[in-house]
Amino acid sequence: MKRGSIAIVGMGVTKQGRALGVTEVELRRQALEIALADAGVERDAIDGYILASHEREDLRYLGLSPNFSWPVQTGGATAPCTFIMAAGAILSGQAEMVACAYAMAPSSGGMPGFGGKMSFGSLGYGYPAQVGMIGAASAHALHARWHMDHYGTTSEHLGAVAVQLRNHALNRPDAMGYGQPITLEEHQASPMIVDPFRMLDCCRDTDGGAVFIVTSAERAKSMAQTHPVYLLGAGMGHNIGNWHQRDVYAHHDAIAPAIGRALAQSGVSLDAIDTAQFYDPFTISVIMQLEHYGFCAPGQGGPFVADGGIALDGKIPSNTGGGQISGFYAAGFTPLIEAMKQLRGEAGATQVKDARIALTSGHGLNGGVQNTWSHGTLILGAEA
Amino acid sequence: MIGDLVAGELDAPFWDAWKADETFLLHRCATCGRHDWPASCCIDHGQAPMAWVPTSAAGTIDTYTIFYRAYVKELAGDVPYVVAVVRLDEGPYFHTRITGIAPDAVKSGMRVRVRRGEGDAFPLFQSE
Ligand SMILES: [Zn+2]
Repeated sequence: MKRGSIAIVGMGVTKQGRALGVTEVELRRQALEIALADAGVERDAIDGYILASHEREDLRYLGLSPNFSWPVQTGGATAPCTFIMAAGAILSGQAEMVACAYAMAPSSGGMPGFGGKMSFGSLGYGYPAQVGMIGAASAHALHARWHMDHYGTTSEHLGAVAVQLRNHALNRPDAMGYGQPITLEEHQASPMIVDPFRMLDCCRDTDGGAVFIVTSAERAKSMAQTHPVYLLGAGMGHNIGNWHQRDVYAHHDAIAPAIGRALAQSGVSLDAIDTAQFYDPFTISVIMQLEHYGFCAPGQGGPFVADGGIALDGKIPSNTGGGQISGFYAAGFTPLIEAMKQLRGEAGATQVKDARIALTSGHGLNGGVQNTWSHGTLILGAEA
Repeated sequence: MIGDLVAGELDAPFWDAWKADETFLLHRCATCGRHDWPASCCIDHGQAPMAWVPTSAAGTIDTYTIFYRAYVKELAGDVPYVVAVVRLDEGPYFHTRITGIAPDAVKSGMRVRVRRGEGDAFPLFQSE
């Protein structure tokens, strides 16, 4: 992909919160309306549809008539994956304007896996559910424990992430943690869930929807009303390679191939990144990604955050909307939404000054035995 | 509580051997000697040379987590419990419970071995 040949011309984000009482497809419809208005286009402009998850009744209920509708599910890496697929469809001449859609309403009973049943992925790599290893927190906890035992990372380091993210969320009305400060002492006093994660190390499921409208940079030029953000580079990695090498827990995911390709496509170095928006379901995710992306040395992610490294005036302002832990959990779309806001100058109290280039990550498809299999990196720019 | 065994078809020889006399098999490539768990395909030599062979059933704890919360009601009586990733001496990871030790006494790097003679449907490990 040539740098800057693809543009995101519309973003629609619904209310994100607990127990909204709205179905997933209705959340997507709402998000689509907002995204269409944001892009200044009508429904019939959408000639490609990519849904994070399985498509059933979306097209009818959303009133769309595209030439294709593709389901994609690779967990929290689905969000960057939808952008990559949209770029592929546009660059291969299959579509001019693709809607990438997401919504989850776990409080309406949409989450698979638990309640006496074998959880997702529980058989494929060693029967973790059989011995009571259930849920994404425990899968990430294995990496956190490895990191603590190998590098000396502490629970206070994890707490520093939680407090920093909450500090970002404090003044952001779009965040679940808006107006609710926490202290390191409160983090340390919060109950242990799956060692080493305490309650305040974990995100909570959120209901909400998001739709992005993706088109060619050429087409974006003719769209007077829009405020386009450009896809500069993209890359993906899969942790199965580390599994084969028996080196899973030292890694958060297979980040190296993802960032390598994304930087090469974008033609920028890490120094050029103004803000990073990491997928952060658990505090360790921020620490390990800072290291594996190269923003700090291996093992130094905890001290880096504790010293203000991801604050607004830090070396790399990160997860400025509070991330998934203190912002909202829209799967891999949380980082993309915040990156878009930053590059459009819409991030309010936590706007990074002169943010021109943003890095975003997504990882997911919980393998049951380790944190996630799939990792995606997107580098977005305010200019092509 | 360890749930009723749900054995994957591809791993049937492992489960049969464990059930018969607590023999602990791994899937091994006859060409390079690489062992895998669960049933796998050698990344260098494909599926043809793979066979199930008896192994030491011992290894080292690579990492672990302690569950303080029961995610399903059947596990309420178990918490706190440890799920560890054992790096078997032959190479593969094996996810299991560590028994016979207080959860907070479990450490990374600890030597462990499969527990036998307790009628475990799923192989659990204990300190060596
Ligand atoms: Zn081989």
